[in-house]
Amino acid sequence: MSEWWTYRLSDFLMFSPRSYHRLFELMNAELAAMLWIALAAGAAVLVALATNRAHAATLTSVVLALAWCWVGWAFHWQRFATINWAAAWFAIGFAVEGALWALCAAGGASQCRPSGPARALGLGLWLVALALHPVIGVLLGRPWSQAQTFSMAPDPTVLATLGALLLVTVRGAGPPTRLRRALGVTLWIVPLTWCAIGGATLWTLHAPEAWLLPAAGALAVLAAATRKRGWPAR
Amino acid sequence: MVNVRRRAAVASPMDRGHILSRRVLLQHSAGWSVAGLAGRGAFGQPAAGIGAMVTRPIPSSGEALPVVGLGSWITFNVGNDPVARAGCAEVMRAFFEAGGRLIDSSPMYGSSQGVIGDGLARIGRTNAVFAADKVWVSSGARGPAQIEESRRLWGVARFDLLQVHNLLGWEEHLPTLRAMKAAGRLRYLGITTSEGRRHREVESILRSQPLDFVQITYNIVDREVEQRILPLAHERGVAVIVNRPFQEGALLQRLQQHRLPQWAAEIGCDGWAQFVLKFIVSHPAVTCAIPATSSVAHVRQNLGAARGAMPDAAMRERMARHVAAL
Repeated sequence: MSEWWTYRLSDFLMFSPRSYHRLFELMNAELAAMLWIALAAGAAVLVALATNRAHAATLTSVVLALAWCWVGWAFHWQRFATINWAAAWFAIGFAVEGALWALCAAGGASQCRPSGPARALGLGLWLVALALHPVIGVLLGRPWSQAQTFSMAPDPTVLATLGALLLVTVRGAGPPTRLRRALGVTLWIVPLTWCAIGGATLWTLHAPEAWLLPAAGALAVLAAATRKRGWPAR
Repeated sequence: MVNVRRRAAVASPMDRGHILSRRVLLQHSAGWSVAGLAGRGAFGQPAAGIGAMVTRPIPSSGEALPVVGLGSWITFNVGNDPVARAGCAEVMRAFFEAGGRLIDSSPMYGSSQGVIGDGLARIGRTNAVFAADKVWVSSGARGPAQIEESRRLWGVARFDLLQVHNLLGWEEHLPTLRAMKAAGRLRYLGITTSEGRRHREVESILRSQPLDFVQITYNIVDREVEQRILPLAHERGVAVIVNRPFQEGALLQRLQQHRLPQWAAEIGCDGWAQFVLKFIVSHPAVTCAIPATSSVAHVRQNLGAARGAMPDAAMRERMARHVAAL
């Protein structure tokens, strides 16, 4: 790209706010049953994590693996790609994150039970993703039919994942291996990248909630860096 | 100027017999002609800005083009949304009913090409459109396949105009476009840029390559092209398409905070959109401006700028001074 310094973020925006929000409206109408199943799965994970259930981490990993793959396929690949040619690449990124969570489920996901702010933020982000994020659009004047929900839209799925990353890790039966540590770090890459892409997209669309994803990403990284983990007894 | 005058005379035989007003004479002196195109709206009501449609000749052929066309960046990228697709078809219907001809798109514009093709078929105007599209791929070898896919999406037998989008791979694409034109599979070829980028390269290509069209960004506040590119295109006999006339809406948003000056009525402006468009298309080197919109009311307003009186040089300077002072 020549004269790259002359490009503004808005030069890369190729669709209108109306077209973007209509994607969610049409998807919600077409896949209404899936929407409620996804919300129920998200609620089950939240309860399991909040009450420290034995298999909460595995349940979280399985639900997130399915959620990321589904959003990559049903939203990015099938719908967003019709108005944004970059969405095909987003779909691949989401599929990779889904595969990583599947590896996490298979490789021995554990609830790391941080104390204090990290736990509160982790559960809070999951709650925001499930209950508050769909309402934001309504509060900003958009119809309910365009609500973005967990496991259907990328933004709430990423918010829930950031929460999970504070509460779940890959530990397995033995001592932490280099591979498991690498997987734990790699799981952050796609959600944080989406915080930047999703935030930038909303900012160029002049959406007032554009700050939410970047702020959640920054807070989650800060909380992860400073959290004190309390491992469950085996 | 002499060339343009001669071409205008060639392009406007339909105007003979018109009783030419002083303003129309002025228009002819700047290379304009007026065509007696439809003056009725979608449901029989008068279209915005009743009067003859002002056209400009394409210098390389003399073919007359209405001075306002239709862009499709962002506005027609609506994906598979059936409601929005129907809305775009209505915009195109209003565009043709108001006398428009040239619609411009690109493979870069997401679903816009398919939306245009779908809309043209829906309103039965596939054969009426002046189809302007682009090739947008760095590899010259992949150009023909992309062009064919674009043509399929539009549903046209051939493109009227193909342009090298943002000069991407122009060295490889221009020979392909020339070969298509020689074989009768294309009528015109050109290059595009936007937002004032790579103007030195545009100048160099204008000087060294035979082109029919050049597409650039120009409006009442972005006037750099008046210095070199517009005079050069005029001198070389290259038609000029103007993109982003409203700075993607930002310019109109800013202007709409102010009242339209009363003297704008002298050139038949009923709003800022027409004020800005009339400024652009009254430049002697400009062939056509391509504002994009998803609104039927706005497309009628935009086409209204191609009718009635046009500003002369003194009025153009007054318009620019007024906007600069706001």
